[in-house]
Amino acid sequence: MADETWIPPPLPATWLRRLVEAMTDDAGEDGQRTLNELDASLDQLSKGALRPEDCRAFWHEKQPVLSRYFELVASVIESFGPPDPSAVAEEWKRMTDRSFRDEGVRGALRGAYERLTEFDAPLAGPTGPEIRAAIESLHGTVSPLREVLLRRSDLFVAMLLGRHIPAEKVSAYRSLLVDLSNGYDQARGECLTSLYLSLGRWKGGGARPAERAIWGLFGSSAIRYVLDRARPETDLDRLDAISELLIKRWPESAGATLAALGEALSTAVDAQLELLIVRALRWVDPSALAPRIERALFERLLLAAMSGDDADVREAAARALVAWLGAEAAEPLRVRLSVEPDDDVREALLELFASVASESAA
Amino acid sequence: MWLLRIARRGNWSSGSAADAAKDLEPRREAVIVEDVSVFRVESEREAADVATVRVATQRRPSAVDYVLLPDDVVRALCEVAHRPQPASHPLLADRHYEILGLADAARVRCLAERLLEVGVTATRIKERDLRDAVLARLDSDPDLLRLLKPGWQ
Repeated sequence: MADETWIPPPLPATWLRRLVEAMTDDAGEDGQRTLNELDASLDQLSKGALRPEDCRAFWHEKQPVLSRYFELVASVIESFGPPDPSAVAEEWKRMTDRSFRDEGVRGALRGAYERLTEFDAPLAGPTGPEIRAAIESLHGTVSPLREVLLRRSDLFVAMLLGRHIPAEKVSAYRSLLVDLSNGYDQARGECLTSLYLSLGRWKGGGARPAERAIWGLFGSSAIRYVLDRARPETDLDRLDAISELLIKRWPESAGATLAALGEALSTAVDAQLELLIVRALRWVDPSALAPRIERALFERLLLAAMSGDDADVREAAARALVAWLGAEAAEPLRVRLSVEPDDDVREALLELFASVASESAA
Repeated sequence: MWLLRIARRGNWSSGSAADAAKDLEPRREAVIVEDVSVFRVESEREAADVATVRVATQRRPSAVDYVLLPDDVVRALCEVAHRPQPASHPLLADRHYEILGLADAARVRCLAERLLEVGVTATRIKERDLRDAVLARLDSDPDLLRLLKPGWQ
């Protein structure tokens, strides 16, 4: 066989930085699926004779898949913060400071970021040794991704620079992709846990809001994670902070919020989560919901919450309904008033009813 | 008396120590367990003021429940340490203390039982009353205006 290697085209060097940053990314299930597709294809390929034309055909076939994977990562990086590099660097520093307690780890991550930002211009600057040095500068971190990169750095460098990958290393290349995926999944979980636990911290030297960091790093999947994790939550400061997160990230969080509210209402054991969501809904703009069906579903859920077992949830639902419907809330309020058993809730309902009635009259 | 950071009325009305204990449990961040925040108050009126300012500077409007813990009951079971919070509203900053040792679940349960025995219950400030109280303070309290959370104005 004249040529036993295949030659993927070079990838922009910015992708390296994005991939390293992807240890805290939002690729999640989509990224895993893409890597699984690549894995299956490489497996198939490695069983046959690796002729150059096969390799090129494989690349042409799979290149869109690989691009999609990197695009997925890139979309998260773009939501990371403003395009100003210094602001992104600052955000990176804050994120690492918050996520890793050990100062050595934090220093290594900051150093790695500084090295990687030097590779901004696609293909202009990076060389194999530089990339290897950047990966090695992650040494000492707890990132499982770093372990993967170091262990397979020769393949990774070849992949990024478009160098020949010998046929006998195709299976190693395949497992590199899988390991990368597993690595950042682990790191992602670690960071999300750390950020969740810091939500609502209001005292002590380290007090600062984590909401922006959570959203910036993990996008809408962070909302799903936070809502799932909040089910058994008892810390009131943390619950308030989660409520604030839903308000600030509305309407991007609407889908996850809708699903969580529906589940909380149907299971009837999540009054705390139900109250958290219903209270948040009072402060969001319902018109920002694009599909009308979502708005209608939320209204139905609020009406259901207004008839629930928990008095605080009923009052919160009534307030949210008034915020959403204005004068149109008069009728459901009137109906609820006729059966409401709790004195405090009745008083609140009367007050709300009077306010919407006067609004209607005006 | 000690005003426990915001509580839940339902946890103190059931008569169950297990429920009351939920509001005494410390906040946990992985292996770190924070001591439980309380504010020193001399009267029920002062407690209402502290609760009002605490809520207005830390969360959006909604009814608030709080619990007053008798000093002798708390000190019989736990130590209390003065931990000023200078970044908080002046009414809160120097009144901030922490109850130590509540990482121990048995001690939390014991404290909850004792508090229920002496008749501790939660006090609620309704949202309308809370809003009136905040509005009444705003003219003469520039710090409150500066630290006010969204939704109050």
